[in-house]
Amino acid sequence: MKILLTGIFCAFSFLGIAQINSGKTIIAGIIKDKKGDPVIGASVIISKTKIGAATDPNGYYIIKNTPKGTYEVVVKSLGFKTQTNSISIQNGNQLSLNFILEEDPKALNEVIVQGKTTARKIQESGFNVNAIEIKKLINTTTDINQLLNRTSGMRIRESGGLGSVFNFSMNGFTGNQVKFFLDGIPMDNFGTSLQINNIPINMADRIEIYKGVVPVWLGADALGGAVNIVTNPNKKNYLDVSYSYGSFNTHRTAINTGYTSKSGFTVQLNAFHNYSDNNYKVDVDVANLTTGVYTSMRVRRFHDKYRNETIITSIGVTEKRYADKLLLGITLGQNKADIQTGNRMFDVYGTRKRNGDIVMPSLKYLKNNLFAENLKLSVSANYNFGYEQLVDTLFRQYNWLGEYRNKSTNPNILGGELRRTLYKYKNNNASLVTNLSYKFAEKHSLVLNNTFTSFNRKGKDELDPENEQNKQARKNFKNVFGLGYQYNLNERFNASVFLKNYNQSTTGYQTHTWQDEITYIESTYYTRLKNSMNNTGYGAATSYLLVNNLRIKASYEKTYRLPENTELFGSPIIDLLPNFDLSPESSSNYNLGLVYQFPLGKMHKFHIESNMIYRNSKDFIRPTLTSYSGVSMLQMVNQRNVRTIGIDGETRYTYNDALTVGMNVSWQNIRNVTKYEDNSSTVSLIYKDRIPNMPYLYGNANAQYSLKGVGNANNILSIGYNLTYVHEYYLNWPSLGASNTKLIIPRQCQHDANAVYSLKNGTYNITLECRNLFDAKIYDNFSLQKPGRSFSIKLRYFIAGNHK
Amino acid sequence: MNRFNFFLLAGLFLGLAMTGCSDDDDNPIPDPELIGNSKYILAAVGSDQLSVYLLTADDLSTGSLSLAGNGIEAEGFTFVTQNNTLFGSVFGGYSQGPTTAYNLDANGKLVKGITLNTPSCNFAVPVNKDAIVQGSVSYFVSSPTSSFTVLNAVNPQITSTASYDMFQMAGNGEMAYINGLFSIGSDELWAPYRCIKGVTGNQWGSDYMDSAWVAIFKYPDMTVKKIIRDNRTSFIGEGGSQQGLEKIDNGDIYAFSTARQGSTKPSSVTRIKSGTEVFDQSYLFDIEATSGGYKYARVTYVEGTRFLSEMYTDASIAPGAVSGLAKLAIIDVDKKTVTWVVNSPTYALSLFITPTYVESDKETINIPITDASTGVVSIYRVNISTATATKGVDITGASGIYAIEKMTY
Repeated sequence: MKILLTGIFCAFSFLGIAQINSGKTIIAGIIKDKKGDPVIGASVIISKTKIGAATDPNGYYIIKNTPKGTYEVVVKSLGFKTQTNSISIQNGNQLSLNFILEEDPKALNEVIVQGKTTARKIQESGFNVNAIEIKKLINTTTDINQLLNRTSGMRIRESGGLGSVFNFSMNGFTGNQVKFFLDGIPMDNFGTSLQINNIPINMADRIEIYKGVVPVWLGADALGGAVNIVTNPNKKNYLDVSYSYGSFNTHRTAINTGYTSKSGFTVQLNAFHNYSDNNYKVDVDVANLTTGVYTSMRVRRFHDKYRNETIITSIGVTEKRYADKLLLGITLGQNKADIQTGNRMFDVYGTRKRNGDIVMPSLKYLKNNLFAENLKLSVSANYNFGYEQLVDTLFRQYNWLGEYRNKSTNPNILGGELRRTLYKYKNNNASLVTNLSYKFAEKHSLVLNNTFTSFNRKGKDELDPENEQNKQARKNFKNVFGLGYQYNLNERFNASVFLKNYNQSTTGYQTHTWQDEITYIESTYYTRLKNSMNNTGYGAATSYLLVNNLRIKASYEKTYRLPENTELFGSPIIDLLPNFDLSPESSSNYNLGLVYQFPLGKMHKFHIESNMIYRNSKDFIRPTLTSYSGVSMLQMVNQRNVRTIGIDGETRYTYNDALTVGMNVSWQNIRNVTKYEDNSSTVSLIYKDRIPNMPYLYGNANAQYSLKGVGNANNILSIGYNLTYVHEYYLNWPSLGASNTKLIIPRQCQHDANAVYSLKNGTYNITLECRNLFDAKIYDNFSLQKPGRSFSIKLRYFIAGNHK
Repeated sequence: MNRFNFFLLAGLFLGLAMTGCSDDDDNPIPDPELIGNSKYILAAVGSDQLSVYLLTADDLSTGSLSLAGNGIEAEGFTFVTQNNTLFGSVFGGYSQGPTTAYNLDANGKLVKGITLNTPSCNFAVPVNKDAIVQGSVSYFVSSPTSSFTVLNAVNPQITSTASYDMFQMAGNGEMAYINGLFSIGSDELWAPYRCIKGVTGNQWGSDYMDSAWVAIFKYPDMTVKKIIRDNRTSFIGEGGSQQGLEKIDNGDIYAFSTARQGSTKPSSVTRIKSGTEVFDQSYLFDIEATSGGYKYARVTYVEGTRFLSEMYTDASIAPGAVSGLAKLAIIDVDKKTVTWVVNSPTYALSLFITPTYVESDKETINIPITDASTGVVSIYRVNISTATATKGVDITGASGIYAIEKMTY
């Protein structure tokens, strides 16, 4: 198994040299295994001295101030044979010394704890976090959405196939209560062209899922947690090309490549393309457009094409005196999506669509040892010039057979399928993320984060160019400042405390109607409205190794999530009224986690993990109906408090690194604790009811088996299976209405299978995948049917190399 | 992404958007005699203001009905009864809100029947004894078509559809916004409308707030027969609330105007004499002058020349907001009197529509009222002769009522 996983990365040894300051004696290098994977946590010791170092997650080590003399350098790492090398040191020497370690098969069976991946290290922090190492999954056609679905406590709910609108819940939090980040940058700035429903899995190195307490360095105003997708591994020269083709005419291409020259010049390019007809079959009632009578049929979706192309490129330098990393980049992309249906399948569209693009220059700067040793500064900035547009211009009604009728007898009259619009807008999102961290006296570290985002919507509907309301100011400046302190006593114990300040300032407008006293003619004018809010949150997290292999993690946070732009400014497209008086939602989160791993004999390994959560959330921002001149409109209001008690468990068994069997189950008791609705004085019937339309019991089981040496000693065949289960849940409040008439989202069971054949130590990979093996009817949302059985094939080529 | 999560969520709630419902009280054709057993049907909105539950009851005069474990979870928001069948339609952000039929079975239990694909509508009206006409009206000048769907209520299916350009109908640079449809005789539907700008930001503004129009449609082909106008009052009725134009027992038609902000006219009643198609210039009833400055909000026709009216309670407040507070009064359009109902609570008008049910004795009217302090929704029973209100059944767990109907089995 491990061979397969690591074998994905190719066997080339790097000759990387860390940036060396002149005048000091420095020994530095990289330690890899035979397959070219960095060996993490290997100790490098200069004999006869007490000087030494351990390798970092990239396999690098650096030893400074070695006295003059001749030494043996000894490299040790669990699971590998010890290596030694003789060196001679002169004053002011800068020595590059790399090692390729050979695996010790005997030791492998005996050792329990091996070198830790970054993902593992993150999981040992005090935060309730899942870190998914993508390496294991990089050959699959899975997208990030589906991957998150296999994580305990997390459910992604999609409205259809590739590129479809999605919603998710994490331990009972949904929507804007959970924030997404790409390399630490808030993703809500990116628009629809760069989202987790289209980012290829190959672009990600790992995904960190913070459930509940979010660490300071992610400057998030999140209530329920955060997801951070980490790309751009510190690989130097690599090329990763993949293409997949599957059912419903789905094509996905991804190219990830990077080059770093000896002088530190770096170019990185991620490019991806997704296309799908999404014309899978659904069981629907087909309306007769003349009589309105429905007939049940199984038909293909006919207006659900999705495509997007995105290029993320950056150019710059690494390992310079003034910057460890200085990259200028630009993200260019576009997406087009047909809209087949509304939130219910009885709404069928044949021409509605949405599109958007992204034009986002960015800057990344990283400097280690700024002014002082272990003082690290990183700055990321970007500005998105992209637009979004909704297109609805044909006055037609469609049915599921793709037939339509004109909604007016006059063919020249204008209208839309739902609401006629060509509203196109730019949100002009900017973000500036600054992280400053300082490690001192070995065990202490301080982190300072400031995340500033701005929003300035400017839009126009070419069908309604004189619209004054569209011209009004819609601005939002948000700043999250965090300060954290961490104490790492040793491997057994670490603790951190943090303080976060949430600040938001909003400029909007107010509509006034004014009547002339003489003519009585009414007119409308607008005034500016300014609002600002300031809240402070805090928390603590700790992790302690109780006994050998049993780790306990606990965290607490008082946190806020600020109202989003559409919640404040409204949206004419969806009849949403603005509400500038929205307060932030707040939540107190308590988390407790246990991780236990133990071997049984030489061949068996077990990993058991469990997390418990308790949340008290107040002032949920939720929509209500209100009347606007007799026409009902939505408006977001602060209402309802929710208490969540949840537990999730995960267990994994590995046999001889060839077979892995795992399972996770999440159960969340998410209850409404608003005792009185609105201004009512009687106890609400839905007091203590489970929050409707939210999955609360779900799980995942998976198994994977790898066969080494199939066809050739360097080839691996791996077969995997995955089962997803979601218990049925109610669309509306459980207490209301007769139980046999209630609308439910039924229990779901989906089986997926895949086979991966890797040749030449992972240089070439072929994957066959079947999703929804038994063609089960799958619904994530009420009555919105998802694709049935589908097949796909993925070809991937990966090569990583040395400086040429 | 957040935006799209939001769309998803918002779209769900938009199932409610647009306006409330209609009930057969507005139908001047007398209710068919209820033969045999009968039950009240109430469409109650849950405290989330989203889900609707259809409750059945034998008696509305006392006790309480709870939504806890009770009622058919339904998706309708506009309800209308025809041919002893309740039709509920989904509205709003949906372009194709289906209409679902419900009947009482032999044991008096409400059961769900056929579902039809119908365009989303703002209001519906039963016509004659076999049909329903739904109105889907535009308030956007960029897409100015309003359409009507004629449904066969006996053998449920669409029999015809018709559509009109509201910009053209107004003919004055604004657009016509149809407030409701009223069945007048067996072959006409009258549609009072107002003129609005219909542009985002000034949706409801108008330079013609001092005019009332009625478009007269031929039924069943829904062609425009005539448009009549009166400049003595502001517009008639209120968008989607299916009230304000009533054909009374003697065949005369009375039209009620609230006179909202923007109008210089007082809240008044006008008349169209039986058999004519012009406003009777000899008749004008100034409600505001008679009531001491109070404007009418919504009316239900009871019998003779008497109406039950919800009156805005604050004379000084511009009654633009339907969240305004109201009190009950009885209006006699012949005697031109406003009689305040004894024991009427002061309450917030229900959202979009006030469903009422007039008992066959033509004396008692059922009307839902939400208690301003406790938030409890109750059915009040108003006696038209004594002008007295009595609190009836409490609907526990409801935030509002979309329909009160009676059906037989």
